[in-house]
Amino acid sequence: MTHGADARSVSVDAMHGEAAAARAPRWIAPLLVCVLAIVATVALENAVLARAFPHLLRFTTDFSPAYLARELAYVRTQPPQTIFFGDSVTWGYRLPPAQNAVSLLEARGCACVNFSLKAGSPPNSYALARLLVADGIRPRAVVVEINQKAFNAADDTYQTLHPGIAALAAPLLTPGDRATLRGIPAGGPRAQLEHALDAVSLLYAMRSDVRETLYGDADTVAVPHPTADLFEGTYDLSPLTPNNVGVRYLDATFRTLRAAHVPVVAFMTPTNHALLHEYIDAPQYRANVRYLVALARRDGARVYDWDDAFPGRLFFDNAHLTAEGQRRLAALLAHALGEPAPALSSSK
Amino acid sequence: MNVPSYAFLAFAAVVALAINLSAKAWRRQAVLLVANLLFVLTFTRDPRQLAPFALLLAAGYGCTKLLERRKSRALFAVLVVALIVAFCALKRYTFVPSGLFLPFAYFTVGMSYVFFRLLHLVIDAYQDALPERVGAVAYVNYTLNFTSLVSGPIQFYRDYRRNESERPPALTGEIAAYALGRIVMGFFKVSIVSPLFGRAQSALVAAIAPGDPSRAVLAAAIVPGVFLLYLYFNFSGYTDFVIGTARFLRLELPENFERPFIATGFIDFWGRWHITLANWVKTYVYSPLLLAMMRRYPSPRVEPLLGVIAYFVAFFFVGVWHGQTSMFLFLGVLLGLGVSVNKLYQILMVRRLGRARYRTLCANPLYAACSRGATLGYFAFASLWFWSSWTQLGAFARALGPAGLVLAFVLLFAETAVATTAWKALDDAVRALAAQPQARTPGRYARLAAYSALAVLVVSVTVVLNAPAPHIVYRGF
Repeated sequence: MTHGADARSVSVDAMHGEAAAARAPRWIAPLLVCVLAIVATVALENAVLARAFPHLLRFTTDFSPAYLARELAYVRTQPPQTIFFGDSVTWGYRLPPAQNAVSLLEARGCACVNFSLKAGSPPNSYALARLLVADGIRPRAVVVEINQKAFNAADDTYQTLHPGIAALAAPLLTPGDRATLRGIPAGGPRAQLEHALDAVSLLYAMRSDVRETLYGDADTVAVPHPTADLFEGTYDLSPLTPNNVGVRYLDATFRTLRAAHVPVVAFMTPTNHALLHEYIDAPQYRANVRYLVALARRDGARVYDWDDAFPGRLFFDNAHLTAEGQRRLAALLAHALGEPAPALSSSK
Repeated sequence: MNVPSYAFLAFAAVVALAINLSAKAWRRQAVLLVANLLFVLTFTRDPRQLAPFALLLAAGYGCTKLLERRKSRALFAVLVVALIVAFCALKRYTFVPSGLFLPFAYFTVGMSYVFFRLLHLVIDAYQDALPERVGAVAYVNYTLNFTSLVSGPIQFYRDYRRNESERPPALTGEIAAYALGRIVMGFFKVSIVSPLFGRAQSALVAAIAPGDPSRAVLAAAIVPGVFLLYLYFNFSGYTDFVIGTARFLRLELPENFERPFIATGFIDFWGRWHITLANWVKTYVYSPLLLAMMRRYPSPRVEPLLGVIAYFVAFFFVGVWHGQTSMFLFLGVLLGLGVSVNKLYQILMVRRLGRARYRTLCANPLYAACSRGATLGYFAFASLWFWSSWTQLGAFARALGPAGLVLAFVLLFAETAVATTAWKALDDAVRALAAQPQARTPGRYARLAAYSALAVLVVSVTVVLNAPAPHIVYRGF
C-alpha cells in the first residue's frame, strides 16, 4: 500500500515536474524576448544618438554633463580652435543659434567653438578652463567675455556652477572652491542612480539636450520693450576687490589658461548705456570696468573694452544684442582675432 | 485629462481593476458610471461650465424617453430639430445667430461625439429600433463612456449594451496582450510618428513661399500627403489607444480605421477611414434620405442618380460637421463631390462596360494604383480646407502661380499613387507572412519584440524626453 502510494506520489510529482517544465518555457521565452528587445532598443538608441546627435552651434540651456563631455572629446580631436567663454550675450539670447557672433564667425571659416552658457559667470568659465586643461585640450586661443553684472555680490546666481559643468568639474575643484561655489553635486544614492541610468542610456544622459533640440527652449519669454527700472539692482557699483567671488574666479580663469600657455583674448560685454544711463553712467561703474580690464591685462590677456561701444538700437535690453548687434560684435571679434570679418549689414 | 497619457492609463487601470472584480453587471455599470463622471470632472469642476453639456444630455434623455412612449412624427421632427439647433448653438457654428450663444465659457470636450450617440438614441427610440427601454445609468454610461468621450469612436447603443450584459467580452491573457499591444501602438503613433509628420508639415508649409518656385511646387505637392499621414497616425493612434484601454474594462469599441491607404475609390475610402462616423452618416443621413427620395421618385431609371444625390448630402454633412467656418462648408462640398462623383463614375462605367468587365478593370494593378492615387490624392487635397485657412490658401496660390498649382496637383496625384502602391505591397507582404502557419510562433515572438521596442521608444520620448503632450486633432470636436 505504502509502496503503491509512494509510487503514485512519485508519478504525480513527476507529472507536476513535467508540467512545470512544459510551462516554464511559455513564460521564460516571452520574457527573454522582451528583455532582449528592450536591451537592443536601448543599444540602438545609444548608437543612433552617439552618431546622429549634432554638434550644436551653442550649448542648450540645460545642457547635460554627457553633452559637455562629448563636446570636449570632439574638440580634443580637432585642430586647435578658438574657444569662447561667456554668458547669454555671447550665447545669443533671444536669437536663433546661427545668429550669435561666434556662429557668424564660424560661418566665415573661423575654427571657433562656443562654450558660452545662457547663465554664464566667472566661476563657470573657471570650471570650463580647468576641464579644458585637464582634458589636454590646447586651444588656439580662448576668448573670455567679461560682463560687469556678473560681479554683483548680492546675486548668488553668479556663484553657482551650471549642473552640466559641475558634474564634470567637481573632481577638479579644491576644497576652497567647494566652500565658495554653489551647485556642486553632493553625491548620495540619487546621484548614483542618475550615474547608473546615464551609463545605461545615452538618451537619458542627454535628455535635456535632445529635448531642447527637438522641442525648443522653453525659456524664451522676454519683455518686448524693457525699461531701465527692470534692471535696477542688476549692476552693483560697489568697488570691486580681490575678495569678490567673480573677480577671484575671473582671475583664476586667466591664471589657469596662462599656466597652460593658452593665449587669452578678453572683452568687456557691450552694455546698453542708452537704456541704463541712470544706473550705470557713474564714475564707480567706469572704475570697476577699468579694474577688470587691468586684472585681465595683468594676467596676460589681450583686452578690448567694448562696454560703451554699441548704440542702444543694437540691444534687446540691458546687454543682449540684436542680430545686427551680434554681427557688429562678430566684426569686432574677427578684427581682434585676425579672422575674416562677417558682413555687417543684414542685406548682404 | 489628456488622452493618451499615463494619467489616463493609471485612471483606466484602477477602473479596470474595479470592473474585473465586480461579478455582477449592475456593479460594473455602477463602477463605470462613477468613472465616467469622475473623468468629466477632471476637465472642470465648475458647475456653471458643466451645465450646458449636462442640459444637452438631459434633453437627449428626455427626448428618448418621450419618443419611446409617443410615436408622433411631428413630435419627433420638432425634438430632433430642437436638439440640432441646441447643439449648433452650443458648438457656436457661425451660421447660428450669435444671440443664441451662451455668454460664458463652458465644457465642450467630446460634445460632437456625444451628440451623435444622443441623436442615434432619439431616432432609434422613435423607430422602435432600440433593443430595450433606455435606463438612466445605461444612458449616461453610453453617452459619456470615458474611453471614447474625447474623440470617439461612435458606437451604436445595441453594441454598447452587449458589453454591459451579464457576460461581457472575455479578458483572457491573450486578449490582454493584444489590448496592451494596441495601447503601445497607439501611444507610439500619437507620441512619436504623428509629431514627426506634424513637424514635416510645418517645414513644408514654410517652404511654400515666393522666391524659389521649384521648391515651392515640390513642397505644395508633398504637404497635403504629409498632413494626411499626420492625421492618420494621430487619429488612428488615439483610436488604437482607447480600443486597447477599453478592452481591459471589458468594453469592445468599434474600429475606426481599416487600411485606408489601399482604398481604390472614395466610397471604399469612407468604409476604411473614420468608419464609425461614416457608418453613422450612412445610417442616419444617407439611407433615410435615399429612401425618402425613392418614395417620391419611384422610377428605377433615376434610382442610381438618387444615390448620387444622397451621397453628396451625407458627406457634405461630414465636411460641415468638422468645423464652424466657411472653410468647412467648402470641405463639405469637396467631400460630397468626391463620393457622389465616385458613385456616378461607377454607374457610368457599369453601364458602359457591364458589371463583369468593370470588375476586371478594377482588378488591373495599374488601374488600381491610379484609383488609389486619385482617391487619396483627392482626399489629401480636400483636407487643405481642414487644416488651412482662406488667407493661407491665397498665399499658397500666389506663391505657386497658375502653372505651379497645376504642376503641384499632378505631382500630388502621382506621388500618392506611388506611395499607396508601395504601402499596399508592404501590407500584403506582411499579411502573407503572418498568415503562414509555420510563421505563427516566430511571428508571435517578433510581435512581442516589436511591441517591447515600441514601448521603450514611447517611454524614451514621453518620460525621458518629457515631450509636450500630443495634440489630438479630433479632440476639439
